[in-house]
Amino acid sequence: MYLLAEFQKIKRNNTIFIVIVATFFINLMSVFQTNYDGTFSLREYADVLLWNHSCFLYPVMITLICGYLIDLEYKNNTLKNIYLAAINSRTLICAKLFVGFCFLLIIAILEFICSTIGVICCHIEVSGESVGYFFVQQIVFAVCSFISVLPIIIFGAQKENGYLFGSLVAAFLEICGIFLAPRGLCGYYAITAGLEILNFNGGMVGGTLFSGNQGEVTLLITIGLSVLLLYILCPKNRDYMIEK
Amino acid sequence: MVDLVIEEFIKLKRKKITICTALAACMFPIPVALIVIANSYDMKNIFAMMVQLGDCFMMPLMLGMFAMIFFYMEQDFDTMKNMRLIPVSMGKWLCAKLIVIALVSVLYSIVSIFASFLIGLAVKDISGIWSNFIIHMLIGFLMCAALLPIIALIINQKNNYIVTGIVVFIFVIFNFIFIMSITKIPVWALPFLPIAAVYRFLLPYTAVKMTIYLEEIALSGLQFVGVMFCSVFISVIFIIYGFHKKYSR
Repeated sequence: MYLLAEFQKIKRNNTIFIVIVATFFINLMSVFQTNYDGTFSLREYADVLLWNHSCFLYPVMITLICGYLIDLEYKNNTLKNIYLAAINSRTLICAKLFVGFCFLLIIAILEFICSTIGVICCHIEVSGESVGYFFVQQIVFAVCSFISVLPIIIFGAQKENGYLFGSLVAAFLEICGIFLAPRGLCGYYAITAGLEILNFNGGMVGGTLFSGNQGEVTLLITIGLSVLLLYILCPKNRDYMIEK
Repeated sequence: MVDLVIEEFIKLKRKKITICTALAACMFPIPVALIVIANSYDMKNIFAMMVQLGDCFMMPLMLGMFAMIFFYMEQDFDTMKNMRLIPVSMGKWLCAKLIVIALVSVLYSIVSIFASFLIGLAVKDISGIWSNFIIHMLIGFLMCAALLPIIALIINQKNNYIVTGIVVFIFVIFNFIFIMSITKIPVWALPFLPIAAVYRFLLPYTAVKMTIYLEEIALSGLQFVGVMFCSVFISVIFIIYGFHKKYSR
């Protein structure tokens, strides 16, 4: 039941509100980008939103949120209390990652609901199929983005404030994604692998269709790397986080 | 005052944040070097890419994170009361912090120009390295001024790392979008986009080739001074307000 305790910790601060405001701004930006040439459709908007999430939002946001959740224990000096309750560092980090993942899913669902309501209110023609596809796109991409930054989060969890440097690395990697994705390396690069899995229609990057099977392999390798890092950097029997 | 600045630097010696600053400055030169060598670009291209990606994206992001850690350090370690016990003027302490942030941005610029020099050596073109050095140093100082809104937010916030971190990120991303695009920014929006204003002011010196579109969007000296004055003036008001609310009681 340690997971429930982690969820209750988020309730105490206004992180949720700030993240929702941040995703609202990215949505607004996507609306302007889609409507730039006067035409607006849900499919185009979904593509623009995916690209903006991949290049500007998800990697850094996920790293900041998950890293902050882990860093809270350093800041509040509550690590010794957690270890007193016989919860080891590996369990702690896994619980934090799970909570961060749930938080991300909630953000993706909220975004989908707001976007769909907005599109319907603007009297734009939508079909049930396009709305369903939009929902699946949002959830699948959120999962892929989370997996792509797992190694950065685990590495940044080793020291207090390490997640801030991790978010700089994530920002660097997401900008590199803007240049790598249209050059046929979409599936080989973890940050943009989700675009290939979703057969993203890159209208805003030269009309390239990102398709292939490499994305799944890249994400599996990333998961393997994350598990390896977790086992190497967070040994079960040592309270490494207190030994600074 | 000099003693305070030295003392703030000594505090940094204990943290690895200075090494992280230098590492952050070395991140973008790696893909820039690969692109330049693969396409046989010259020094102008190297410089333009380093300014756009390194100075106008990574530097403000890194400086924002650094300023956050730097300003919240005293509250985190509960040493603020020790600072108040010794007769250290809080105003001078704040100025010392701002000077250190400016010096860190200069350090970033120096590492950045050194990286550009090494890439230039790899492609056997180091023409204009001294003018590039001066422009990088100027960007370092101007970026520090452009980040005053963020510093005002940090001073007014109550040790809230995640809120400040997300705001820094959104601020830099919004500016970066206008740096990457060639759309004209409305005059009323310019004081809220100081990083983009710095880039567009220095566009005639950093662009590989000045086209008619770039000439339209570049800012004149007078426009730039007006924009930065507005941005800095509003930020300083908020800094003074936050300072009095937080530190002068």
